[in-house]
Amino acid sequence: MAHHAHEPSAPATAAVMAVFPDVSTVFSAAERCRDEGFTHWDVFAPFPIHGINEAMGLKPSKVSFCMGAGALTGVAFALLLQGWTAAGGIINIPWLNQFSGYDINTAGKPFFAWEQFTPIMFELGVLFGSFGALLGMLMLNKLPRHHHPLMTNEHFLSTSDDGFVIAVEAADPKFDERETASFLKSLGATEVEVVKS
Amino acid sequence: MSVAPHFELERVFAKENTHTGASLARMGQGLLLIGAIFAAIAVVMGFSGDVERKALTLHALQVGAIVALSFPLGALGFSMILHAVNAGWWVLLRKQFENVFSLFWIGCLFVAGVFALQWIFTSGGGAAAAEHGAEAAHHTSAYLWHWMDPTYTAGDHLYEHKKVFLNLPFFVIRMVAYFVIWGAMVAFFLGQARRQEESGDPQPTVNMGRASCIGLVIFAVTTAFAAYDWMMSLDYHWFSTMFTVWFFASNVVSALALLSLIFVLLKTFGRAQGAITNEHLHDLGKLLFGFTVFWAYISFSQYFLIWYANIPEETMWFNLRRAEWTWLSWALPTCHFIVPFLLLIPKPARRSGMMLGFVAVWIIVVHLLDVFWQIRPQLRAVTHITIVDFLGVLGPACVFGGALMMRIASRPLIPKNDPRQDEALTHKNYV
Repeated sequence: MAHHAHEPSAPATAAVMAVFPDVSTVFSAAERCRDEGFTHWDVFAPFPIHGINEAMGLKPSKVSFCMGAGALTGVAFALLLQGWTAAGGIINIPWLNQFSGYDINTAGKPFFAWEQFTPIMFELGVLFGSFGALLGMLMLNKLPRHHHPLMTNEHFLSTSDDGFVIAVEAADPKFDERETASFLKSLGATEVEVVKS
Repeated sequence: MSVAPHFELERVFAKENTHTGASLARMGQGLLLIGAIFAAIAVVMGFSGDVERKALTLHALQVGAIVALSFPLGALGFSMILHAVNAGWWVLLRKQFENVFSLFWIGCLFVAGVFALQWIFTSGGGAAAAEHGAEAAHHTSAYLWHWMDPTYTAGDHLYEHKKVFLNLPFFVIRMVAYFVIWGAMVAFFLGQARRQEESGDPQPTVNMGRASCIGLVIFAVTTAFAAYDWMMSLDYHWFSTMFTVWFFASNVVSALALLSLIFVLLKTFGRAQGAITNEHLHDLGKLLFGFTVFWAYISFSQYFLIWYANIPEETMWFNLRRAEWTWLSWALPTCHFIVPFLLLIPKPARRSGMMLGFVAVWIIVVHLLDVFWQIRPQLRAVTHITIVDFLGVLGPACVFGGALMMRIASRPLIPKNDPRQDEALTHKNYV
């Protein structure tokens, strides 16, 4: 739908949107949509619905991998940073040694002491891990995004109050404007609307 | 949306679902017998051996006694936390926690036995041994608690200061006091649980919650002093404020590992179906993961502060272990933290019986090594694992394991009439 956005004439169909009256209807409708094989669709509700992930057939989030990568980066960065600043002199590799840091004698401890590096490694692991989680979340959600056709829709606004919405996007390979609309209607939707971009 | 409760109470509480086979009791008897034989051989080897062997027997048996005590203490403390926070998800697992902590007396008896054995070893030939014992640099004597050895403490200024606390009569009084206090607590919880099962009265749940709030304070104080008496005072020059926290962490992590193993096995053999689900395993897995990290955090904190401050009378405790038990000093952070940490990170691992069971066994084994590392290096004359260590550690541990199997086999696996039973049956993790 995005490639139609800059054509001023004839707004293209962006999605079919259905409003459901309550949690149980939208929950079973989500299960039907999952079984129907839709891939580009979502459920919108004013509050989190327990078990909706399974009902939608969502795979486990990949955010944890972004977080793990961030945490490992943080731990490695902290180790290198401290190794370089406190035990830089032990780097004695040709060419590389021009970047060698300092030897800092702290209370006669070894220059390269994992003990004193550990708290910083933990802290930077947590910090970079949370960066990874935040950036991963934004990336996987394709955020930030300034506009979506649903956002200006009158009925869609009810999802921040008492409405439960399922929207199937036109980008879905199984999408067919008329069939999808009647399918959603058959699942108990009180309102089905074609959303133009 | 929550899943509708499609369980059938009658099927959950059917006899074949809430009782194990008779073979478990027989296996328990066998394990108990093996443990008793191991411990007996260790004692006999102590009697027949020289001073060094006698000391070895005492150290090894003390490790085994503390291991046998750590599971019940961890289960008791954690049950009280769960009672105090009014945990509903857990009520059907409660019976197994009760089974574990009801056997606290086995570890206590072994500690008392070690104390008595030391008395026997040192009262007869003790003086003679001390006379020609001076030849060894490590001062080998048939003592586990060196502060009880008058020839050892003679002229020790530090001991004179600690004598107010570390003296024989007070030590015995404390030992009896721990036993009586823990016994009273265990009797209370078992009694309340029985009352509820028989009458269906919800009041015991309230009573146990209230008692736990006070019980936790008493538990904290008694376990702290037990750790001072039975572990820290083996090197009475040394002190660490983190030690009791370490004792708590190690007790809870071992108890959670043992209970995870019990529930995984019950599930594998098709018992307690509907009452113990993957959701409960998932929560146990999360707690096991959390307390593994807690154990590492506490252990590292203790080491880190002492390493940083570098005060001789504190560092010598770690120096001894790092110098003479180097492999174990590196194996513990690796195997007690890094390995279970990495294994339990993925969510499927915490929900799968296989993986959780494997990690549980792993942690129980490493917990044994952890307690060994705390106690055994104090005997400086022998710095490798011997047959006496093997027998002395596994003896009390197997006696406890066997008694636990017999107890599990002798009663229903899940409690009846708990007012929050529905909450436990429909419990679900949404994360």
